[in-house]
Amino acid sequence: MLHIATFLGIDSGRAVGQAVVDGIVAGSAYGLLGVGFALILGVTGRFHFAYGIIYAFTAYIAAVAGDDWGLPLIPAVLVGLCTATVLGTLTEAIVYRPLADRAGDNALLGVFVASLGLVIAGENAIRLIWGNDTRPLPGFPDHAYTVAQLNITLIQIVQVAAAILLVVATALVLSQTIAGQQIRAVRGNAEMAQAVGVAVRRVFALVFAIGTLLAGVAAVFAGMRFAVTPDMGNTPVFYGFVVAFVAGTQRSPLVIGAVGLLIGVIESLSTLWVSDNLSALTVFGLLFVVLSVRSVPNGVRQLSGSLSPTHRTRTRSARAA
Amino acid sequence: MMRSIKGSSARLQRLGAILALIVTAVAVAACGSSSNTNASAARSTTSSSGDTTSSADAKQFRQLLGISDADAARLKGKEFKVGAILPLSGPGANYAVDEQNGLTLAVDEMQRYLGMNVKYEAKDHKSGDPQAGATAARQLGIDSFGVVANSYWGVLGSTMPALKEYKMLSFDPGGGTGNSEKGKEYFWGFRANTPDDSFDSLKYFKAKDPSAKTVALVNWDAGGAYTGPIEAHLKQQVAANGMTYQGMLLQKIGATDYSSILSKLKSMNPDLVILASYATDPGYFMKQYVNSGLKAQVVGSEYTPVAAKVAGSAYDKFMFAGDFFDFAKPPNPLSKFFIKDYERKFGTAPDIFYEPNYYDAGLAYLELARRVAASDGDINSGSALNQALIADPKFKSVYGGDASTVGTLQLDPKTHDPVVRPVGLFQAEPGGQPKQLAGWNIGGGNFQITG
Repeated sequence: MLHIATFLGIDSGRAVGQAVVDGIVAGSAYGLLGVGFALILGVTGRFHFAYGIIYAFTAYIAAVAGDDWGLPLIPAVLVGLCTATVLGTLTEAIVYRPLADRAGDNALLGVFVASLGLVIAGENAIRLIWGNDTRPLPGFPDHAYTVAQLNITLIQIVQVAAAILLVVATALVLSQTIAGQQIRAVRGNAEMAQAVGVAVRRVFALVFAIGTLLAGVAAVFAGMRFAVTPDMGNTPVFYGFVVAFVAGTQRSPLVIGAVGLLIGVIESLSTLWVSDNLSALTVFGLLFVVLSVRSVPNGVRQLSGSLSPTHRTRTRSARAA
Repeated sequence: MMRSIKGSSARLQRLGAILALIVTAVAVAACGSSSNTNASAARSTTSSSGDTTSSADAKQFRQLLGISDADAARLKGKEFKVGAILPLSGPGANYAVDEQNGLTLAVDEMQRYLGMNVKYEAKDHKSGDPQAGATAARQLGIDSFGVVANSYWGVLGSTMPALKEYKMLSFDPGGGTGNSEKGKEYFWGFRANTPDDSFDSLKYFKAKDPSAKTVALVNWDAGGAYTGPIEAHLKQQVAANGMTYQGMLLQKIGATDYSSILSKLKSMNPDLVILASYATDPGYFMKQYVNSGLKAQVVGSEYTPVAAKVAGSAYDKFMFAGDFFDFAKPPNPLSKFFIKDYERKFGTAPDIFYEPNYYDAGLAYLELARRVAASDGDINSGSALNQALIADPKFKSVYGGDASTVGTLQLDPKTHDPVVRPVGLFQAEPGGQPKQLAGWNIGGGNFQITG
């Protein structure tokens, strides 16, 4: 094993183990973001790029509630999370839905452009209201543990646990509750669901609330572990995309969450060989590979179809006509 | 029911339109804030009211800077154009506030105490965008500015062509010359280069902790042209102090998660970690460092209140080396005047070294204008000001000196870097001002352990 490690340029098993631990921590946040984003995109068809700015707003509201209003940590975090939920729902009700109703078949593009606008305006609004200063989100107990030479802190443990709980809870809601059944029905076929009496608009609002709540949890943990900045949502939203697209937006939250963990571990392990600057390249490279591999069967089918004798005869006849 | 659905849909659409209008207004206001800053900054410099040129403060100001009555008479009423290229937007926008405060304080004093007519204009380089920097410099050149306060190593070198073409004398009190812009025509560093000029701090550890033998470097990943010279300088200093250099770890600029860096540091197990990162990065680093199990002393290159805020109590274990301004113990009479006048103008005390750095630069521009005016020259001619600087590269400074003597900053005509400038090693203190542990002149001379 030592020879293999040396051949691969790895200094020690400890370094690999630590990278796995760090990757699981990062991946837990990616999983939350992926589940939320996949739920929104899969059910509503909305490319909710403003996911990132709501992420930032959640952390800012929690920091302001704690810092300026003097609330203890947990109430401040709850205020932030409630804000996330309300903002997400309002974004759907006031911005996306009217646009989608008017745009019809072009709704995807219209919503995407609107969400880009929300990101730009939202980030500048944060800077205008709260300034450019980085804000801490303090109050979480600061404990670190070393197990078998691997380091982990209390907040990292709680983040992973919270992410797993929330992903499992989301999966249970979708599979065991009436609301979950309605969400799955709309995800499968919105028109049919509406025809049988499902209030599609209400389902959309619920999905946005759940999705942005999950992002809000990731945001407050990021704020507590690092700090709160106006542009803190820009990178996480991309990780949310990657996890959602690699896992598949129609898949169970458990699968998406697991893919998030896996991507976090792969990204962290990649830093054993490449600079931190290039770790994001690893993640997007993975997305490219997965999407390319997925498209291979379709490509092969199309190619074999076009090469079949029946197809060639039909094509020649069509040209002759 | 259909009517009520349509009605509620219409209401939602109106709400959506109103929200879109509000959002657009906010975006326009925010996006326009940098140009508004420029405009308001330009306006504010001409709005001083009343004749304050014969006040006690005015007399003290002239006395501290060695401005005679004849000099004051020559400068009174003269138009003087002062430009600046600062990170007015983007992640560095916080620092633009501090830098601009320092510079506009000097501008305000020129008007207030000398009756000069100063036109100040700041341009935005968007926190290090070379294209924006080049455009900003060109715009100032077209508008015939003779002096430009710069930042980010002359915005990573992009302003050099315009400085040369339009003959604009530029000081960089924020970044200095760095390793790549030394000796460039019309461009001068106005602070110690970091991290390079802080590496003399190794002498402190050699004296105080001889067991500290191995040194690792954590550096901003800004390309080989940036990291190479820094690593080479550190290796020289490490060897000169009988220590062993272990290697360099590159971190993403603006990184918040240091898990992989800390894991690699653990493998290296150094006795000292030199942290060559800036802005809020050291705060994020230290916050995670203290929980990583690593015990090596971290020595950074600067101390900012915002990084200290990010790190919280983790910053109590942080040391840093550089040309730090001790606000609690201003070293000379000009420093005390600076703090007092800063509070007068801004209603709050200064708290970050960029403020005195840019103030020093503003006063240096005034000194050059005084020299050029004394020889009946054009104080807005960048080449005349540059020649005056080369002839005598010494300026009064808020750094250095003592209780009765104003400090001195002296520039090297070859490298365009400071050669007289106090630098020190400091320990960050819980909730208070850092404590100085050692001091030396830039370049390592006159090294003294003070704490």
